[in-house]
Amino acid sequence: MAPPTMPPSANPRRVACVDVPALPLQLVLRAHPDWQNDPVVLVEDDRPQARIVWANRHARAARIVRGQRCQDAEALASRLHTAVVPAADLDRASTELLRLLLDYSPVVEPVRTEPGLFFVDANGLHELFSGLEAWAHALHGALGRRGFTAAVVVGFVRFATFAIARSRPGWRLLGSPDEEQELAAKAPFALLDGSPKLREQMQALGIRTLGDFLRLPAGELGRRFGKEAKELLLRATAGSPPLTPARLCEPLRFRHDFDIADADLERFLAVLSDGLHDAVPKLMERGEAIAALCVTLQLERAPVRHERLATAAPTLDLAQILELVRLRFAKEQLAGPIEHLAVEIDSVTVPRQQLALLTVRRRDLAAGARALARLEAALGDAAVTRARLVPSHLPEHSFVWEPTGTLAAPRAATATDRTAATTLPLVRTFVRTPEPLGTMPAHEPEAWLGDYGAVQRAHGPFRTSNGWWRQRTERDYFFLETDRGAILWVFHDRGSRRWYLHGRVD
Amino acid sequence: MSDYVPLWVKSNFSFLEGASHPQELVEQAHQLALPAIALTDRDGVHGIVSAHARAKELGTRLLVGAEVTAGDPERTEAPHHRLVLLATNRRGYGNLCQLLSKARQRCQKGDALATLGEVAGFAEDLIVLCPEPAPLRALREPFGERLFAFAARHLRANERHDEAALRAEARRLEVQVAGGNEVLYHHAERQRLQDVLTCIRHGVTLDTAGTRLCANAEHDLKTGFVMQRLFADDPGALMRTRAIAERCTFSLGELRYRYPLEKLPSGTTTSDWLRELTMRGAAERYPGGVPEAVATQIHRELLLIEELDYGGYFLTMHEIVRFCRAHDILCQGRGSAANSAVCYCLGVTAVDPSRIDLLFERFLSRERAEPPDIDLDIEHERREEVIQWVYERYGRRHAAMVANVIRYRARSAVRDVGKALGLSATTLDRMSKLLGSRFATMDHGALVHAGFDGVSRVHEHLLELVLQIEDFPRHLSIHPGGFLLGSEPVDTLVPIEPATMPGRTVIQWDKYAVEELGLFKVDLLGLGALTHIHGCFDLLREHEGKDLSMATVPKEDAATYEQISRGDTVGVFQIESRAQMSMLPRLQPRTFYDLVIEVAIVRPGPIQGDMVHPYLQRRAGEEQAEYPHPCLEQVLKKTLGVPIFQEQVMKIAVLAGGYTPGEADQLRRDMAAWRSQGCIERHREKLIGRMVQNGIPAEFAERVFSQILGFGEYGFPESHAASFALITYVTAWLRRHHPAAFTCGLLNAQPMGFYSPATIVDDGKRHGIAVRPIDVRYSRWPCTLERDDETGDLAVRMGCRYVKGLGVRERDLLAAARGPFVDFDDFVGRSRLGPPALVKLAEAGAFESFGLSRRDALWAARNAPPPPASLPMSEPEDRPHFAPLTAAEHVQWDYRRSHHSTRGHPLRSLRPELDRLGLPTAEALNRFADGRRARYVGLVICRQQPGTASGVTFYTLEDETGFVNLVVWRQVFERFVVLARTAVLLGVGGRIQSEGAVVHLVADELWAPELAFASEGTATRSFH
Repeated sequence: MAPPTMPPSANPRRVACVDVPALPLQLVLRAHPDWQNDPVVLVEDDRPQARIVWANRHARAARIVRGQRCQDAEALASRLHTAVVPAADLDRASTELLRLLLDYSPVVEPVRTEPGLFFVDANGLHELFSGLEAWAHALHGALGRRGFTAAVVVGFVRFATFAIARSRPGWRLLGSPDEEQELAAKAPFALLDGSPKLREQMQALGIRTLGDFLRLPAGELGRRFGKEAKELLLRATAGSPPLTPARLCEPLRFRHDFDIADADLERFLAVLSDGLHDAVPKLMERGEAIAALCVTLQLERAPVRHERLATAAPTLDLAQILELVRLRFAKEQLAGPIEHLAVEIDSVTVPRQQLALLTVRRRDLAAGARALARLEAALGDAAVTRARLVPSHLPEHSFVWEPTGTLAAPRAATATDRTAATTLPLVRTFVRTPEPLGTMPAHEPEAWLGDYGAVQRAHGPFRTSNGWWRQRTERDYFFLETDRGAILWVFHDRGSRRWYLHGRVD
Repeated sequence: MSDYVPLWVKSNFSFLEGASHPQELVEQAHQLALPAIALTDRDGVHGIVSAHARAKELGTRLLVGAEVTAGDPERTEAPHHRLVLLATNRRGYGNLCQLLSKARQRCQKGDALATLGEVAGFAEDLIVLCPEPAPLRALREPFGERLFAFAARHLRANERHDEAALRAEARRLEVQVAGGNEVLYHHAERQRLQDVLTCIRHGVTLDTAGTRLCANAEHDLKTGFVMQRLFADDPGALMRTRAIAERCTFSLGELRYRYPLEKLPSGTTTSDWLRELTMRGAAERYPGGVPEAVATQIHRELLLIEELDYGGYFLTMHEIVRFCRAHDILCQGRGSAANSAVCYCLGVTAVDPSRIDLLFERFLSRERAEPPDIDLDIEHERREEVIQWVYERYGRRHAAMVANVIRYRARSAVRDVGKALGLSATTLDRMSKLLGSRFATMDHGALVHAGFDGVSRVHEHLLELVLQIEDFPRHLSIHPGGFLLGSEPVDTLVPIEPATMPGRTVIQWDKYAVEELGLFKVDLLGLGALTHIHGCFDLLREHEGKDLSMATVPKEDAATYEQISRGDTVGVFQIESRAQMSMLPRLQPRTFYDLVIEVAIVRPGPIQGDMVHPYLQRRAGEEQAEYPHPCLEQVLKKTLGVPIFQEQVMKIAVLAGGYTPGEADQLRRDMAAWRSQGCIERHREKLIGRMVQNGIPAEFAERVFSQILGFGEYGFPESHAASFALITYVTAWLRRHHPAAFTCGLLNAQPMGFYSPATIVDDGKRHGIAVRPIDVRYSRWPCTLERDDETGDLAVRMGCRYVKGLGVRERDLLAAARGPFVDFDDFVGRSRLGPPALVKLAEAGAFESFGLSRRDALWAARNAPPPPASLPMSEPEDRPHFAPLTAAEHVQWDYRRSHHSTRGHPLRSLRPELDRLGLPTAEALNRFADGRRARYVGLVICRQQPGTASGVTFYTLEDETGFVNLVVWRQVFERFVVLARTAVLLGVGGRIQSEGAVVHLVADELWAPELAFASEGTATRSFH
């Protein structure tokens, strides 16, 4: 049985492979140009046991290899730099590359599993760039100017261009499908995107190139080496299926110029409503809903005003959105009539059925969330907060204020809660910043607390002595009962030897 | 003296909670003039012996107790209670130990939980302090007036409320209230460390620990005056602590220990039976009649053993040895037992006391009155059988293993403290590695070198806390082989808890504590060399019909000593290291006692004491034997005036330093424990001063003390050396006269020793042994011997155990499917091995004798699961053609899959290229003249950085012709650090240093040879 080969194309269409190898490592070196001459590795996370996922040339020269543990690598190179590339950085870089490639072709397909690898439709571009050679050259140059080392290969079959790109950097225009086949067959198998295990298995059999791999009996590969080998073979022999172009998800925007500058809120809302009505079908087509509106108002004889209004949850309910806008702008007069309105819609992808669901329940948390959103719209983002208890010995650190965020249904009290309720300390009012009480006079101690009255009884001390690793606090707390019936909560700061009022018992 | 006695005190043996050593607490109590102090560690009495020893020295009263965690094991969500139990007398202490054992056995290692019912069950002669109201009712009846509510005051905000609830319940139940605090450290300054320990225990950082940390520093040991102020509202509660203390009269000194007695023939006493067995053994050992000197010594020893009532111990050792013999397990007594004729006759040791002049008093003496110490070495693969037999024979309550306390060292301290401080784990890892290599201890320089700024507050904290936490107990581990056996149940002496290893139980004391209390310990240690020797004896019996034992190997064989003296000792016990190999041609051992010296001299003690060169010079006749003082002549005569053994150093302390036997014994203990407790320094001034006073030159006195420090690193007494030397001799004799069996046995005993299997195979081949590759048609699981049809010589056949990745399952399948196999399909069908195992065998070349190349076999091995044995294999298929492997690739594949190659040395295929570059073989280089410059390329098989070598790294390089000893000075190492640390194939430039038969290449440059060499699979052993 003749071995399978990569199929020649009858009506050759042009496809290019753009490969930015070891993209995460390139990102790190781009961010730290001073590391260029040092060993650098990328690790999964900041742990000594973390595995190395990429190692640069200098690291490899120090015998550091992928898969090694960070702690072992450090023993090999004293000047080793380690870095972690967050997924968000990688996404950003992929988007950057995609934007750049879209400048050179309208159809670009990123390979999701391999950041930095793209297939680009190169048909018809020769006319724009006075030939495909110039196009490839220009694209390669543009990548280089952005600080990326890349390979650009223009050929006829996707997998073949990929194999050739992997085996040699720079740019290359393949003249004929035969030339492409010949070069691809020589591509080292180890550089294709097989798993380390498959690479090892093939190496053991002496399979060094893609050509060698394709000469193995096709029917036996899957049985002996599993799904991955079979799929790789299929990809290598699949020809050039059409590209699945990626689109950058640009936010929807609209603008409106007022013929005569207008300060009327209702008219402003009407214009806004029209724009949003036009936007909703587009959003629905994209399967998205509105998460926030960024409104920019150019005002007559007044500074530009920017407002961002976030919805409680992604929505296409325009009434709800317009209500938020009304609340935000009704609160105060505009500084001047509106000359120009620009709106950018922050949208997020949501399941379609979610958009349709507006169920009413007894405890309508969504309505509660909307109410909170309205309050935030009216009073500002940080207007609604709630206290969360955190374990700490220092009273002022034993809770934090945090944005209310989402509302949760209250839970029934547990047995532990009920037990705790019986042993709760006194209800007291905190003073946000402890108030200095002045020095206790030796001769007239009853005057010490001023209007609170003279101390009748003191309970304490209750001592906190903590936080030494940042700033030590040493306080002796007392409850003071005064002759005017007040119960004060005071402390003596042992460091400064001063007294402070920290609260009152209600 | 105050009325206050601290009754709830936890030391750092409440692991990761208490922040002071037990001794520090006792010392502080003494300094504060407290009438007594209790030690009540969490769920244990781990630290009680240290506290007891210090309290005895200071004359402070120590109360013995523990904080017991109590609760309902069925209700995991319910909070646990803490109860403080104090032993009023010996029976109470026994009850406490049993309760703790029960609480431990229920839980995983490190945890404990007793039910309140169990606490009540062991209530007799125990006082309980209850800091919580909930358990009071359950304990009221069983404890009666020995139950106290304990009001613990630490100035916490909610404390008053809790105390009110406690007092209310106590009033209802008519229980008296005692007061105090929960002491976690001896001084308030340790609050920081206690916080850090809490973080480590909970796996959190200081920033996230929150209320897990104590609110303040009120957990210190306070004066009576401060406590009186704190309890001004209830002075009675405080006075009650003193009353309680007066009721607790138990002291650890009361522990009386009886050794378990063997069942004796009726009408005989222990002494009679021991005498009988000894005399029977003597008749076997000396078939021609017991020499008079030996008979006299036996008589003298038996009298002393009887007088000290140690007969039971000897009978136990005899019983264990008898078990080993009956089950064909090779064992040998070691240590000071080798000085005993009784041990020799009982078969415990194999060193004939008539062959070597050792002092019985080192083993057992009336003056020292401490238990004898016998270490029993057992072939390592079968030691667990012996351990489990001991458990079975004596019972779980009468036998338990001794603990090993794992303490913080600089590296672990940096990791744990730094983590609690919230520092980056990667940086801490770098820092801790530096501590192992460049910096001995944590200091400012080490901080800066690791990339810390060294001035910020957090780094100051790190430095301070790491120094404080060093030597703190971290957790309990298990001693390699120490057993505590008792006539009474051991759990009435000390709590027993489960160990991590299945089937093991361990007591809460380590060997120092056991020794401090004068308890008997039996050490059952694993020794690979005995497995090796046993394997050799079996092979000789099978293939040559020779039945040998340790005692019947021909003695003082000249050919064996000749081979040893050439330094040709790969695989020979104790003298195979590079340093030993270099020493052998200088020392030229010709007698058994020479071997005893050889074994002992290449050790930190003699090296640090600068005793090696003087001894060699005197032995070579280049220097007269001189004695620093006439009184030392008797002690040092055997070793030409140079102290080499631990016993000699102690004798010097007595004779020249004026030490009493008691002081000398303390010196010996301090030598053993100086690393962990640092108490050897107290001897420095005393010993050196007294020696100088007695007319010993100061320089010699200093050297003796340095040697003592070295012995602390690895103490080596003459008796140990003698026991080891016997094994050394036997292995050397086997190597000389039966090299094939020696190599085969050594390969089967791996992992052990200094060298990798590859080096052992190549060394065997260089000595003319045919080593045959793994082949499924001929190989068994272990390596075997095969008779060569043509020459009649024995050849070694590598076993399938060397195929990396095959395990017990494959071993059993292969054993069940013994050949002969007709072809590959036949093998697959009958062995029922799956593709993963077949792939491994294919990669190892184990199917080549079926006419299948490795790649063909690999392709075939990956095909489908094995068919049932009765069915024929699938239809022949169209096999692809694979490129054949080159000779070098064959070797490379061997190394990758089996860590060795019988087909060739990795450097053989590179030799033409090396020749072209003018690089010599090891054989040629070792003939170069002293001082000549040389360049060489070899495989790094061993890398050693001994602490005694001032930063010098010693390498052993190897090629197909032999070894090259390489010396790399610190500067050169630093200059080529990556290569020096990691290279498998190393190029070296340097100068030859040749002294007699000892040749070294002293490197001044290292380089990476640019040769087509694959390092994959080759193993280097690094020793630090």
